Amino acid sequence: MFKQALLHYAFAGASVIALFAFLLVFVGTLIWVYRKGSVEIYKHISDLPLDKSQEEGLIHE
Amino acid sequence: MNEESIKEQYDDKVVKYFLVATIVWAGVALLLGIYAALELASYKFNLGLQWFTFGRIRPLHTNAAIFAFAGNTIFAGIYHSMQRLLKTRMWSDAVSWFHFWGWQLIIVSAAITLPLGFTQGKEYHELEWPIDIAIAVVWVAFGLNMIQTIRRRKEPHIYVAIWFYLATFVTVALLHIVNSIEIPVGYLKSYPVYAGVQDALVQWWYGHNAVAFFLTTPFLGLMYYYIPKAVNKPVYSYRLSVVHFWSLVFIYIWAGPHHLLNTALPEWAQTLGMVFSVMLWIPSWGGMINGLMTLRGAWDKVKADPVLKFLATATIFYGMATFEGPLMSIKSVSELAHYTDWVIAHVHGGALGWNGFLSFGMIYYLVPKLWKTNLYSKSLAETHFWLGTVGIVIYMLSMWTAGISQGMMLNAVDASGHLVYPDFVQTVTRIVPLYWVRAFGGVMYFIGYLLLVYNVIKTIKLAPKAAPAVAGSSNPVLNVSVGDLVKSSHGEGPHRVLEGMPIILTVLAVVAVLVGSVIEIVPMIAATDQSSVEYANFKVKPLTSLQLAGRDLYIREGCYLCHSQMIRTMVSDVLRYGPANEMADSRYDHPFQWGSKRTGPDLARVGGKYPDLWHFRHMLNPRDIVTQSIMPEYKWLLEQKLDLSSIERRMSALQGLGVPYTDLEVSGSVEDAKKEAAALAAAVEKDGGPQGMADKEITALVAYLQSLGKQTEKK
Ligand code: HEC
Repeated sequence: MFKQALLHYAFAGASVIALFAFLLVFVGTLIWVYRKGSVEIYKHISDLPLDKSQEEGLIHE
Repeated sequence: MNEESIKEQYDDKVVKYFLVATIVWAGVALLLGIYAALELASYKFNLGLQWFTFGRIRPLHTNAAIFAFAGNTIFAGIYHSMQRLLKTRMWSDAVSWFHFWGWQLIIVSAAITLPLGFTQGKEYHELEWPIDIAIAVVWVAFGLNMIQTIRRRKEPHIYVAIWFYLATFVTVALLHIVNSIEIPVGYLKSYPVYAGVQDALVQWWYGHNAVAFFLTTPFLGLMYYYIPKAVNKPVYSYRLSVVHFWSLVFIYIWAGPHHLLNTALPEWAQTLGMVFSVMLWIPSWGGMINGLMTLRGAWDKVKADPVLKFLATATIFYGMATFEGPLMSIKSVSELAHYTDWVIAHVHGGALGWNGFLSFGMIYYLVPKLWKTNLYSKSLAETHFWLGTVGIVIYMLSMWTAGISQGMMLNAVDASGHLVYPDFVQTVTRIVPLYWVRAFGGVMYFIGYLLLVYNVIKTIKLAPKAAPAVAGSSNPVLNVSVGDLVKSSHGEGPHRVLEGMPIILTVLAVVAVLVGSVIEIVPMIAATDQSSVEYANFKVKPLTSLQLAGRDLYIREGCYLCHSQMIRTMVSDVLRYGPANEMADSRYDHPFQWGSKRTGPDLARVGGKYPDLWHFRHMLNPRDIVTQSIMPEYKWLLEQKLDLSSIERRMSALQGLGVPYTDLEVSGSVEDAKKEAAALAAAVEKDGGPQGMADKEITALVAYLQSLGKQTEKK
């Protein structure tokens, strides 16, 4: 009986639960990336690949 | 770490090795692809030799493309970019080399075992259990090397590319291990513990996410590193990249059931797969836009630089494929697209356009850098780009046309409720010319690749010879003082915790991936175990020992790569093949054989459709019966002796997995098989068929084919 329910009905709601969970993750991430101070941090991080000094091994003392 | 400045060198040698391996295996994968394409254009290319037949070449092609070509690309890019982003050498040279040689060994063992017919019969998971174990070990070594490198980094912040690498590592490990739970029944033979619908769900959860976490997330990481690098501008929006990462990781894992739409998979799982696949469009495009916008104001550079051309076009192909994928996941579109060449077009847009072009861009960027010279010829690279692009366009157009034409013909039902094209082969004849066109597109792409090989060899020859006295002097020197570290480590508190800690980040990514996996798979497994109500209304006979031996041959020959065993719940499917399949029909199928492509007709109810002799003649030469057929000949099945030496072990393993064999059936399996085969062969002989087939493989295969659709009875 439980199995039948599981198979046919209970998880008809699964999409809704899943969508809701995703909404939480999405909004959470949005709030997180717009937190105070993120601008400078992200500026620094996104410049990391361009750090020429490190590319060839770098030389600063 | 002390106060002194630290002298360290990047390990670029292993990067070079991975790069060369990438180039070599790319050639192998592409050649195999062209060969498989030709086999579909003309059956003659199968050569009548078992090792070259389509059913064995096709898995070799896909494995070479995914694990050898794309795999080595990923490793080269990760080892190169990671050391620079983290300002440190890889954690352990020994582990790096173990990873390199281990992976190449796995590829070589695939190249040997697959043509010999050792396969699990699950797509992209064909390799048998000892190789599965090797993959797990080498993969974990790779992950360990990565995590340890992150831990000893000299840069406090972790760039988003590395998150993508980490997510790749943990998710692929999870997918591979869960889909590899199998019972060995020989040195190179095993049965998965899952059966039927469970196996289908686990396999496509694996299969789809292999695309997601082997062919997408690591390549996105590479995109986020190499595009900024090549254009010398930071990524358009770092914020967007963070949102992109979490949305993608969370959503992707749910999408697997879109490979199983309109099948016997429970409705709610199909709906989940569809909804999440459609949602996937948004984060995917967020990533594409982020990549392309990084090039804003630099289009003149893109025009002039083949590296950027490849990278930008790869990103555009990523956008195309991730628009097409969600579209195809809509249930009604899937009715048309599934099982046809439209899927093949889709995959190759991704593989040749996104993965291939990104790899080529990376190679053209890295080779001159690593060998400290300039690219030998920009114009050759330019020619490569255009040959490749036109090749892909020809490939995709031909396969779109083939897929949509065949899908429409197969689904066409006239006003009186009859199939418009009742003969499957009518639809095949229509698309064979397109198979030639596709092969031509592939050849163009391959010629472009040859230009790359030449260009790379010439470039390396141009390279200055390293001074021999200084050991490893070709490697750059890292020289960072701790003062720098402190200077650059602004960002404390929650940021450090969330985005700066590899372990926490990895754990969060695992949680994101597990949510989808658990909600989807656990109830499915619970609802569809052997005591399920879905099975209670049916009586399912397990296969006899001879039929089981035949089934193993069906898997060995890769019949599932051209034939499905799943009649969908659509009018045209039911009219053509009989009642739609129930879950019960594959109740005892370890592994399931629902298939993913119908180059030939569905076989789920082929049992009893033709006399035994028909099958003997058809397998010997399909064109004796259906003149237009493109199915390969299988004459070795009429020559080789059926091997029953391990059938008892196989039956007993299945018994252990819940297939209701009696102990007597297991212990008498050899005798039973011989008896059944003798009777079948005698009857065929009497009808004027070939003589002396009782101990040949063909007899077992025909016994299996005749069982299809006959095992299930409604109570
Ligand atoms: C390259 C793709 C390909 C492969 C591989 C292949 N087939 Fe076929 N098969 C076809 C095509 C196309 C047809 C339709 C034309 C015909 O009947 O020959 C077909 C037809 C059939 C039919 C007749 C179905 C019907 O309802 O009329 C059977 C049975 C069959 N194949 C069995 C097999 C078996 C068993 C194997 C593996 C040993 C196999 N096929 C491998 C392409 C393939």
